[in-house]
Amino acid sequence: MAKMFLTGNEAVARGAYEAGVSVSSAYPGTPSTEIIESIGQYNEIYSEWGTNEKVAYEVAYGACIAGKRSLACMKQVGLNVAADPFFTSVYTGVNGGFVVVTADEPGVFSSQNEQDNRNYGKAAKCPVIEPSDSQECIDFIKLSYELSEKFDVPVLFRITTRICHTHGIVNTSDRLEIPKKEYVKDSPKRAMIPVFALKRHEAVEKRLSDIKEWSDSCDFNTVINKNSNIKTGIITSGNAFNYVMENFDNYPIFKLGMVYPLPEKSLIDFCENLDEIIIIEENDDFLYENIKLINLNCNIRKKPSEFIIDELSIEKVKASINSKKLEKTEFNCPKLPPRPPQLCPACPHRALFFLLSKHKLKVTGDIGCYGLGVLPPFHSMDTIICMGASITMSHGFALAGEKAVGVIGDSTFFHTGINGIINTFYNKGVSTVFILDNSITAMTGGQINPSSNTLSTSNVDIEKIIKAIGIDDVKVIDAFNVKEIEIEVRASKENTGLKVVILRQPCIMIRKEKAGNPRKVDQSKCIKCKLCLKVGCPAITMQNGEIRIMEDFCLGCNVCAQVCPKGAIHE
Amino acid sequence: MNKNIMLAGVGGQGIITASKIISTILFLKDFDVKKSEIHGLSQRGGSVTSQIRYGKKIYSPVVPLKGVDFMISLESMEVLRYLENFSKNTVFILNDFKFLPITVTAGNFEYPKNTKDILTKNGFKRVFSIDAHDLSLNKFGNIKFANSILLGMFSNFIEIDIMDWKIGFEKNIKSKFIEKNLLAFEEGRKITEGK
Repeated sequence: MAKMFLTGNEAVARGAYEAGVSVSSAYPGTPSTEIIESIGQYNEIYSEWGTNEKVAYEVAYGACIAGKRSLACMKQVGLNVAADPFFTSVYTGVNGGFVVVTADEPGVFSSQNEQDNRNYGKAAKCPVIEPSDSQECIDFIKLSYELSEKFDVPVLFRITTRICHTHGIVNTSDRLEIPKKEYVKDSPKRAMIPVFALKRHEAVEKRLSDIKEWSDSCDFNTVINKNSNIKTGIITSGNAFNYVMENFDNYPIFKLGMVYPLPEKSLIDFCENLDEIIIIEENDDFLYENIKLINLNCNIRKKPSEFIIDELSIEKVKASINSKKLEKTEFNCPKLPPRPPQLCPACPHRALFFLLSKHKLKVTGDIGCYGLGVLPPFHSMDTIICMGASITMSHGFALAGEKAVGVIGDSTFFHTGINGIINTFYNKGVSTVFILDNSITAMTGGQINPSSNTLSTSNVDIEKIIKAIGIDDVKVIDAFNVKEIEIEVRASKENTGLKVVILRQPCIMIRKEKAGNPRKVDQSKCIKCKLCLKVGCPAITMQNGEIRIMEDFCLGCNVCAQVCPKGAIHE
Repeated sequence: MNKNIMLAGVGGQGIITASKIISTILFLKDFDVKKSEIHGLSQRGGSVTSQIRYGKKIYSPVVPLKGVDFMISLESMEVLRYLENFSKNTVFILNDFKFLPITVTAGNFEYPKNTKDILTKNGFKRVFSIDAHDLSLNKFGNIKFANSILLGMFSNFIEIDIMDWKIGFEKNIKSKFIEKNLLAFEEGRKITEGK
């Protein structure tokens, strides 16, 4: 047993290691990314970045059916992409244990929505496990593999941003070596033609009721202060439990580690001598809606409805339990300038967004660092829905008589963009698609994808794919070349077919050297038109009425110099 | 008694390393510790915070309102975003260095005139401020040691042995930079000595 200081994500990886997991796959997505990155330190576990979450899920699930304990990880919206295999794999069960991690985002720190994936567990009739800290991430992952194999079922493991990214102290154990299970063909169980699927649905219902019964005695759930004199009990789970313990650690508390299905008998027991219970949970009233269905014989309260939005806090939990309003203190402070995140210096996305903004084009966007194109100074992104939606929605815009260019990255192109571009081509759609190929999955911190050049993976050339589809109108341009990109941006207004423009320059995270020497401003030529500020580079500032380029920050991409109408910026 | 430390700054300023140094030491001193921060988009030059809580048993990874005991701000105005987290007893270690956000350089907003004054006006009086970038540049020829100066300033308010600080640095900083960082730390220590 060694003591360590791990984030929830690192602890999930540690738990998988200790549980004898052999195969893991994921598509990067905040706040889940560090799980697979951390698994990389364990030679006993094979890990790979899948091209999307559905792919990652199926790869890991294949290994599970073949007989090894395996793991798939994704962020909350990733499970939407993997929902197809997820639902049916609950029908087809497991061979080696199988756990799918969903990292949800109460507070929406780095996502496009605030969906609560506990709902998926109920919809798919799959058990849902929810840990409260790093230690439970280890312990519950191990218990989840036991649950998975005991009941022949995938397990949905729900963590949230505060669990994922909080370091806590854990005690670790040695790895349990789990031998590969024998693979025996069983088509009626695993090949879901309708006649078999209906039979399996029976098995799913039976299994769910078995798990429900077992949950009354399982190690996931804990009761605290059962004999307290306080007549208000609290039912809680996940990080909400931590907020409860800050001020109400003397109350009777039912801490659920398995949030679906619910341990009905234990909950009835818990409420026996209580006047009321209050349910404290983050985001949706998932526990409340399900606990309401149990005949508990006491009053049931929930948090105020407005707390469904955003993450909980110690104060919100206190207000909920005490039925009080949140207090707000006023301060004597000027309105602070916002500090929005920005594209990095020498980011290869900059020139395109400057030009899309300049020419006021409609832009259907996608998921990536280029989401910053929504913010000032660009304001040049009309829609961001999900991965791949840039290409498809641009086609849809055209069908409704509006012209919009699609903007997508390399990782996103391989994720689900590729399906969309084939669709536009085969349906003879009209669209201009800019693919920002920086050879890396950048926003999540630089994970590889098929466009990356590494020794251990094969490189896939986007241009060749586009041509192989049959799209002849394809161009590859240097992402720093403002003039050439502007020609394509202009042309997109008159485009009558499908055109693909690939802008290529590596992300600065994988650049081995600077793009060029730092730029300087010749103050005698500068007319202070501030056009260079419109490229939104953190290295360019206006100080005491003068435009300056911070030498330490500038990586010499030269985009600002090309934008300057007076040639005042030079090496 | 549980204690709460908060660090604030701008993505890329080294907030993660600074908070790792502190939390590593607390972990080795056998406290229960939680350290929480948000990763992702905010790394790209946006506002960032890290929160460290330590004591006998820590539940919430997030500090309660008015609960911050020690506030270390790596940038001047960033501290002002979190006023509701402070109390009269909060000790502020403030890098009075202005990192202008794009909303200021583009001329849409004005950078607040005097951070320390604003803090004092709101009843927060235990403020120890210095332009650590300037000091780092003058003493060491590079702004990179500013955070170590601030940690040195902070070290006089927390009961951690100087030897333990050394271990914290050694475990989180590349070996070739440790010596200079410790010198910067000593420089910071002098500033708040006896305060």
